[in-house]
Amino acid sequence: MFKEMSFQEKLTLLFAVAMMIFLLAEEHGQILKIGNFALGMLCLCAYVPLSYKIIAEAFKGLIRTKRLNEQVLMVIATFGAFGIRDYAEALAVMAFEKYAQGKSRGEITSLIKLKPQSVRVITADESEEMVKPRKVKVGQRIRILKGEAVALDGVLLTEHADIDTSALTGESEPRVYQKGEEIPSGCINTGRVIELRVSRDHRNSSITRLLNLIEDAAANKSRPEALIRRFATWYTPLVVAGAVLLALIPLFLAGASWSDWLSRALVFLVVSCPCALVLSVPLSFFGGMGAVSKIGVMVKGTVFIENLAKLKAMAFDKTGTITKGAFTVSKVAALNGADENEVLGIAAALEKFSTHPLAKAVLDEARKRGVTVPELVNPQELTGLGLCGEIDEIKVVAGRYELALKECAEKIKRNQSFGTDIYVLKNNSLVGIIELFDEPKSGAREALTQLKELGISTCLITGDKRTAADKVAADLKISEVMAEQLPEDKLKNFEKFKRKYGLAAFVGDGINDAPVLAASDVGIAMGQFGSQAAVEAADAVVMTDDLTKIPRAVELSRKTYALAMQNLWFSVAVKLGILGLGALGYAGIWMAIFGDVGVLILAVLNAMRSLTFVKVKEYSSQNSTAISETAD
Amino acid sequence: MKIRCDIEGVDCPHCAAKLEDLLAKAFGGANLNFAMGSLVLETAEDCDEDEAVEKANRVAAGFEDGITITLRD
Repeated sequence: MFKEMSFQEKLTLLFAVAMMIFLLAEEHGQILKIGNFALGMLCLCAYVPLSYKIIAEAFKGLIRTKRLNEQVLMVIATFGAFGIRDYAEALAVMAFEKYAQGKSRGEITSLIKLKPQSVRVITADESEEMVKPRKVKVGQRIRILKGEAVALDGVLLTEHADIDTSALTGESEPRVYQKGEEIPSGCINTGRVIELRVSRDHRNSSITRLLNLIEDAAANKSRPEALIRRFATWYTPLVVAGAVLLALIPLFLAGASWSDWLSRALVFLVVSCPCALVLSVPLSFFGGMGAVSKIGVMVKGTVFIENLAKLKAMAFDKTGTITKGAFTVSKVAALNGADENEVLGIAAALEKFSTHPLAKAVLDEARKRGVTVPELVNPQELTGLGLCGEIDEIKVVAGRYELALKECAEKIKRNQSFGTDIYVLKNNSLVGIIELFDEPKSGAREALTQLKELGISTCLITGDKRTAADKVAADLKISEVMAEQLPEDKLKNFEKFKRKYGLAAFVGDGINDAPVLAASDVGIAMGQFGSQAAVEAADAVVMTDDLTKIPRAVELSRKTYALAMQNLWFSVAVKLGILGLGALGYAGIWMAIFGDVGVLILAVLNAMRSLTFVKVKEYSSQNSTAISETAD
Repeated sequence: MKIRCDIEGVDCPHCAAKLEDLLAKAFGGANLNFAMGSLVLETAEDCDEDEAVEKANRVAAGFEDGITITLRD
């Protein structure tokens, strides 16, 4: 802040502080023994250059918008201090106010590193040109030096590149990209110079979308934030009214001295700015969101930080969330005279139209075995059940047991296996069962144990059959299991679960999960391989497929919430304490200045601790100065 | 439609909150993030971006001097 000031501003501020010290010394020690009038004149010399702008702004605001802004209150306070001959105090109010202005702002913005402001575009004659990211078009070549951030998504043209993706994923290990792979923007080039061909323009690049998420998050304010905002709108008028009443007390109280009550009123005016309150709580949450994003979890609003902190229970989808989601076909059973390849062929023809994780496994297996996939018409996805269509004008169906039971002419028995089964029907009779198996992810057990240690109850909700769900739940020690859930059951049962425990989160990824994600207090989507619909419906997105990030995010949220509460009570207590002491005549203007500026700075510093909850590696940048010079 | 802007010259978070309310009234909705210096305006789908920014600047000028709102790069 001090660095940003012009020389003239610094001079006036320093002069004012020097004058303030002299006036204080004079008050107590009578060094020069000059009269009150001369002191007042000296004080004015420092006061006018320091505050003429604020005074002008105050009156302009007062006349134009007929609104008591903070500047007006400060001006009244200093005039009042002149009135009761507290010259040093008058200077102090203005000097500290000026110092605090923007101080908080400067500290915060320095900590939030935004995306690069300019891009090195390679022109036709192989020279470099610095261009704003917005102006770069898809297909242009860009160059990224060591230590620089990738500004736009692009396909790698260099043989290979070492890239730190931690800003997007929270993964600390640098990733090696090969020629032809797409590098998302927001990553940092840690290796040698690379070239990219831009594949997405600025508006659609991953870093822009990520920052947009953070910005839009402001709308989802946490309850303490909303509360403090309502409180702040009443706080200032009430305190100012209190000041007026205090100043008028000598009218009704015989023997009360005007200057005594006026100085008590001034204490009120100086403490009246609610900035410390309004800033400290949102800033704590905001810092917490930043900390959580550093581990690769994006939270779409501070209310979800609050909910994560108070979370009582968490329900998980099984497929693709707890388990790898990459099924492998373990067995193909042909029935009723069909052969294995025919069964697989029919299933593959249908599953081509699905995004379900099972579909990929069936297609992979069909390709591996070299099965010819027949031509399919009228494909139809029955969400949560399976698919149907026609091959050579014969109806074919592939899907869950419930679907098979409905579509099949005769009664069929449920297959008993740990895995997941796809029932394949042709012309309303069962021709085969494909068994698939899906293993839990490597971090799943750890994540669920940690959640239990944090006192969060866990539950598995899955569309899969009971044997498969029970096996996974037993492996991971999940206490509650809801198996064989259709999408509408999932929602109903999740709401029951929510009522039972209070605040409940849901972790999912599939298209079937979107309604449950939306209904939960915190909907968590496993992002990287998750479907777009789920990511949009979610309140928090885990950028990688690492489940252990969820308990970490809960822990960070709890720390953040505790910090915000600490800041809230600290600011309110100090302000109210000073107001009380001021009214009784025990707190002077000096203490009031601490109550305003001091509390603001302390609260900001405390709030910024949340940014240090997670440590992030720093890379030295070759050309950092060159970048900042060319950026506007 | 969301219009994303940078905002400069807002000094205190309390003023930011008040300005946000004013802008929210003038437009369909507004999100002012004091810490990031960002402003997101919610407008009708067919709204002209430059006009909206100009309007936002007018609202800000009536509120306090020295605030500039610019369209995000």
